[in-house]
Amino acid sequence: MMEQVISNSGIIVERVSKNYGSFDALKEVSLTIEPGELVALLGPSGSGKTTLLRVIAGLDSFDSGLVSLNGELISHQSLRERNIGFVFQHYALFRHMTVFENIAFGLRVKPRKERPQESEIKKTVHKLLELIQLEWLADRYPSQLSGGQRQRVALARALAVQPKVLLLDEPFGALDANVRQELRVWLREFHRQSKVTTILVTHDQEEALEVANKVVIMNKGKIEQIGSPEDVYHHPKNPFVLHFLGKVNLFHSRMEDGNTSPVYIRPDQIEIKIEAPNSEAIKGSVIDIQSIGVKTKVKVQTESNTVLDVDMPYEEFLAMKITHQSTVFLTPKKVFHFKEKGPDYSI
Amino acid sequence: MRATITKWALVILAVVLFSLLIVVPVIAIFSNAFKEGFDVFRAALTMPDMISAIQLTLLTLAITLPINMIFGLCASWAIAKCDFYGKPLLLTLIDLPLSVSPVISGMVFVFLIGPRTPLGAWFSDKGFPIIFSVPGIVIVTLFVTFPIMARELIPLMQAQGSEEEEAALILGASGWQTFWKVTLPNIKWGLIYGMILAGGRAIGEFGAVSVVSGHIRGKTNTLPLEVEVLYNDYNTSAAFAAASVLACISLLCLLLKKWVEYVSKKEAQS
Repeated sequence: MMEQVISNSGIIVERVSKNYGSFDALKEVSLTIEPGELVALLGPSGSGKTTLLRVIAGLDSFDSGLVSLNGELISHQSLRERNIGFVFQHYALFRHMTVFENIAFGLRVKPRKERPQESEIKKTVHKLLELIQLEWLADRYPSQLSGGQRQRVALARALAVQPKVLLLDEPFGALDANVRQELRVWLREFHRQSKVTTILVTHDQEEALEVANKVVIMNKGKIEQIGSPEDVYHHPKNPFVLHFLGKVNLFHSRMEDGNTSPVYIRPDQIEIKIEAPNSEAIKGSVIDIQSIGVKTKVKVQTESNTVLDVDMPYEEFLAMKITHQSTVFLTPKKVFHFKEKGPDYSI
Repeated sequence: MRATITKWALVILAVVLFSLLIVVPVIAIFSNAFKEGFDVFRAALTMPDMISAIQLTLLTLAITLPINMIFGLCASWAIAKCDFYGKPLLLTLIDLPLSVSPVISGMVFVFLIGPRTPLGAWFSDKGFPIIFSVPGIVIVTLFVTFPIMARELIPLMQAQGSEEEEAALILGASGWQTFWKVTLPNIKWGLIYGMILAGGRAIGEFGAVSVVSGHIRGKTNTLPLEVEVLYNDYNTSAAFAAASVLACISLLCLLLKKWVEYVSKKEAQS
């Protein structure tokens, strides 16, 4: 197993466990990240995603298992040798240094033999300032910047040492929606050009699905599923993943053997009609309507007293003239139900 | 209307109390010091015993301040940035000198390393007595001023967290580089502020020093002890002259403190 670990030049996490007292932060977590991937660690708070990121960075120790980075076990490397760019949730900019000095820090602390010339440092920092489009703020202090600007400076500072791996801990969590959106697009574009192996920790499923090309969903210190954004959304392995990636309707359907089993339907996977399309359709009456931009959310109470959420395009909603108490007919387009292990779909 | 009356009543009360308790005594010190003229004042301050007392006080300050700074930094670093078993106990121990009467602190050291204890006797035999001598004065002064620095730095370091240090380490900085380039600049003003407070206390300490000094004039009398001796000798002008030196140092500390507050606040805003 050792040789196999050493030969790969991405990030390999093998059966890593860590606990804080009686609390298991990570339980035998295994994960392989290929060079150049942009991976999102997604999960609710307390799921262990930040702990996993800090373990990979070498900021936190772990109790058992092994982690290799660029083909070398991290326990054999000093923080300096690991060559990691880390962006903290609350930026952690050096408050007494200007933006320029913050970005230059990683270059200035290099051992004398490797340290670039002052002119070279200036050139590198200005290039990075150009990249984050903040050249005009070079002489400001972090306290004089907005949240979005600080986060971009933190990114530039991490990139200055040309890291082989970029680790981002909830980088956009403390920013407002517009800035967050803008930075996501920026990050994706940056990754497309630089191809730096990147891991992003987030609790925002939309952010994970939008930015990453591989999503790792975590819960209670374990990995629930690893896959592409399409994969995890459309083929969730278990109810947790399904629930975490968006709202679902749950109801219990009677099986052929007489037992009931839970069945899940996403609100946008239900077709809604004013007239019964066939005898299979579920009859119900509208109890609540909420229009949010291009989407309209309709709550329908079925005859068996189950309340189902249905999402439909606003245009369609207008055309159908649905109002409060309207009688409607629902046809599920895609239903998830899970046996003990592994997914099972029926349409 | 009622609110303004209350406000002014409180302000006047505060001003009256402040004048009675602080301004009047300070004026009294200086007027008594100069009562018999400037020549007497100068003569009092140039007496060999007085010069020796001033020198000893400054020597104590010069030794305790750097040691205090280093110990204070280490203790605050350990408490604010590390997690370890028994941390609450260490915090309590650091606060101990503040809650114990200085006289008791002095007594503790007499019982611990006084001439009648084996350790104290051993040092005396080697010609290096600790109690009733300068080392004792330095040790008790260290003891009573130690918490001041830690108290100043711990909340500051705790508030700042260790993310900046982590960021520096990940960027490739060594432990020393992280300390000099990140930690120290961040706590610079707290450190200076703590040093001024600790310095003021070190110069003015009476109780603990009084117990361990032995009151040998010209040898182990610090300035506050000299004031007492002169006063008991009915040498009022000289006593007040010495007191005025102490008062001047206190006022200087106060001014320095205000200046540090002003500069650090300004730096924080920019």
